[in-house]
Amino acid sequence: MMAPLLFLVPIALGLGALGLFAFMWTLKNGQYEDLDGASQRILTDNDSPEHTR
Amino acid sequence: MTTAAAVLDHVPDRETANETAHAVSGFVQAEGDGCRLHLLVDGAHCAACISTIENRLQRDPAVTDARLNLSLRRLSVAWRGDKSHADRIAAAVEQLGYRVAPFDPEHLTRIDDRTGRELLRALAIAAFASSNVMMLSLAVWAGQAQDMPQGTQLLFQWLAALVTLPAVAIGGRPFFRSALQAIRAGRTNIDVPIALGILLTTTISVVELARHGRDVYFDSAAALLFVLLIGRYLDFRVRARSRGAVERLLMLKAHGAAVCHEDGRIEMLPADAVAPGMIVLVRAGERIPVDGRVTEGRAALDVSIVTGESIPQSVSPGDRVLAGSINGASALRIRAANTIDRSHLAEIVRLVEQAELKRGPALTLADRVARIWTPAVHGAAFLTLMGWWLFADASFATALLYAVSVLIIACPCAIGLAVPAVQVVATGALLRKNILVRSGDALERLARIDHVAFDKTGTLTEGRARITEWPRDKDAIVVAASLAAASTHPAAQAIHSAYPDGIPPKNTTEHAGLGISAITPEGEIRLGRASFCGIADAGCNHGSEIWLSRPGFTPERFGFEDPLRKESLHVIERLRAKGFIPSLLSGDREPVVRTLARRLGIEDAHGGLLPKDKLRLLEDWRENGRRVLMVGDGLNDAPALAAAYVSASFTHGAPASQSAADIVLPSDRLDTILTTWLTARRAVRVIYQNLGLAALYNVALIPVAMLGFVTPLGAAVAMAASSLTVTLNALRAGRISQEARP
Repeated sequence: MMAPLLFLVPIALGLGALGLFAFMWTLKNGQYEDLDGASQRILTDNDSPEHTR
Repeated sequence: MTTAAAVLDHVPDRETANETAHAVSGFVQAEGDGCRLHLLVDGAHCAACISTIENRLQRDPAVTDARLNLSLRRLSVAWRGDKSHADRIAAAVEQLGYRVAPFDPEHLTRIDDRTGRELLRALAIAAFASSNVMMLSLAVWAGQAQDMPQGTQLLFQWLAALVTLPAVAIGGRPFFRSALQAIRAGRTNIDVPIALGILLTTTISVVELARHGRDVYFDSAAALLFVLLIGRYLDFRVRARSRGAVERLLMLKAHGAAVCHEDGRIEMLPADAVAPGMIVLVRAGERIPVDGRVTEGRAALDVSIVTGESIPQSVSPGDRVLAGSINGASALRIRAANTIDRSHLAEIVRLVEQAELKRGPALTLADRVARIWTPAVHGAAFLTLMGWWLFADASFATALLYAVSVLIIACPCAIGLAVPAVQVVATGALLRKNILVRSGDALERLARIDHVAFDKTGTLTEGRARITEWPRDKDAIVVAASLAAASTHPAAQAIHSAYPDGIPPKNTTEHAGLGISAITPEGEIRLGRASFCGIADAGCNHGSEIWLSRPGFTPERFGFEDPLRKESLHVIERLRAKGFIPSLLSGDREPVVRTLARRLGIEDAHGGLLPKDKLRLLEDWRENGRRVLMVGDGLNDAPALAAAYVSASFTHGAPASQSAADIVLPSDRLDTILTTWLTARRAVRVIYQNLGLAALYNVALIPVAMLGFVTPLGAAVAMAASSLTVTLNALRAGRISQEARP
């Protein structure tokens, strides 16, 4: 009973923490600063590397 | 900054023709070996706008980075080379048809940005904590029902503690900080019981865990934090969103001053950098940046926004001009009299600050609820403690546990969410109608008004002089219209627009402040003031009529006035029907105000008021316990707006009035005040319902907790149910009433 829990629980918490860190990274990276712009930018075709920042 | 629109509207004269209209280089920042410029772009709202602007700038070989933030309408451009390139960049964007205004990002409120990020970070941590702790807690609760070994249960609870404690330490900071501030200032606010609730729940859980007890509430602590942070973030969004919109409005208006140097160079400086004695060029359509005296040029100034006078003021060299007036006709050069901190505008700003200080922070509904709720709940908890300890012979530890469980079950989470959720829904719905509500509690205050005070010019009237009385003789109109084509005076232009085909006769002369004359074979024709046309000035009509004199005819009269908005009467009647007293406060002349008040049926009308007179009236009303809504758009209204119980300005209004007002209504739409009021009343009703629902859960569950029947599972279910109920109910506040339509 205990053995699977010993690795399943850390995995579950670890995955959650991974998501949390990913969110923190996107927040720090300024990805929530222009939500209106992001929803409009997908309509343009400028996907070449020089247009990405 | 001269806008593209202004250039098109007005024929460029000698001064504007040969110089760049976009002197923005004063706002450039050095960045590495290049420069960076921040521009506010008006009119950008879609994907095509982004790509048009960015692609146009990226075609410029010097530009290294160009990015438009569509949410904030801000364009950031970086380039290699020197500052002077900035003007070309701004000109390029304007050529695409967008208005631009340079701004210094240092001057913007940075606090918003930081608070928003802190709240989002706290929210993410609380979300992670509450979901994972719930996973662990569910296992424990399931395990208690079945046969999970004690050791495993304990392990799970320790893991929950491991996740919850740092989450509370980080995520709870906004509440702890606000609660501490309140306590230090000797008051309580809603954050005091919230902070206490979070801390007690966590502490009791740690203690219970250490003594292997049953009452471990880590899931409740984490969920409480999560729900409250949602409420707090919603509240922040309301404020940030409308503050951003108002800031944008202000930035588009608060442009720099074009300072003329002795060598003929024209440099754009921020208005506060203009020193006394500098010569400032004000082009047609621009706002005068500083107080001063005219040194060159003649023009008609629209002063309605500064003083409330609806008739344009003609100025010629030597005349004093006030900052904020709009130059309606041709370019002027003025010598700055004062720097911006000593101008008329600065005087108004000082009055506004004094008024705000006197008014003090408004007590929000949530804080008022906290005043009743906190003693009630804490009293119940104290009773529980005493009851169990003294009368039921329980041990002190057990009695304390039951007392704390009362505080946990009566969690203020529904209260923390009940108000902001409604506010975010209601202000969001109003924002889609272009009505900006600057703070959530403005709606609460608007719903409680009993008196409405209006400014006249620009609020009840259109703020633009129009010809309302035409002579009977058609021929006279044609002659006047063609003669008027020679003048840029607004009244003359209004006459001219009646027959735009009229060609001005030759040999016309404009007499500043008097009128226009032309020599024809029959004799001299004159168009202008009564005295100029040889009529005895009746006095009372001074400035609101124009006469035409022709040889061989009797003089003809053109009466002009600032007409009422078509919806004004409807709005006043509706407000009166709702039981509010309307008042009229105007800086315009007494007879004009009197006539207008009679037409609208307003009994309480005051004319000839200075900004400080309006302020005094508002303060008197407040002292008499009246809750006044002040609606005004002028600079002269700003102190009164700041002193009012709640206030509204317009997008077309003076920047100072917009920053003093709680609500900014769309330009030229007085009827939106009714929509806003109805929505506010509805929102407050939903808020009360929400508070009632939250109270219902508390009333039902507190006795259960006092009897000691609460389990961690029960607390979690109660919290989820009450939060969900108030959130769903809040959605009903978004429906905008159609009742306001005329």
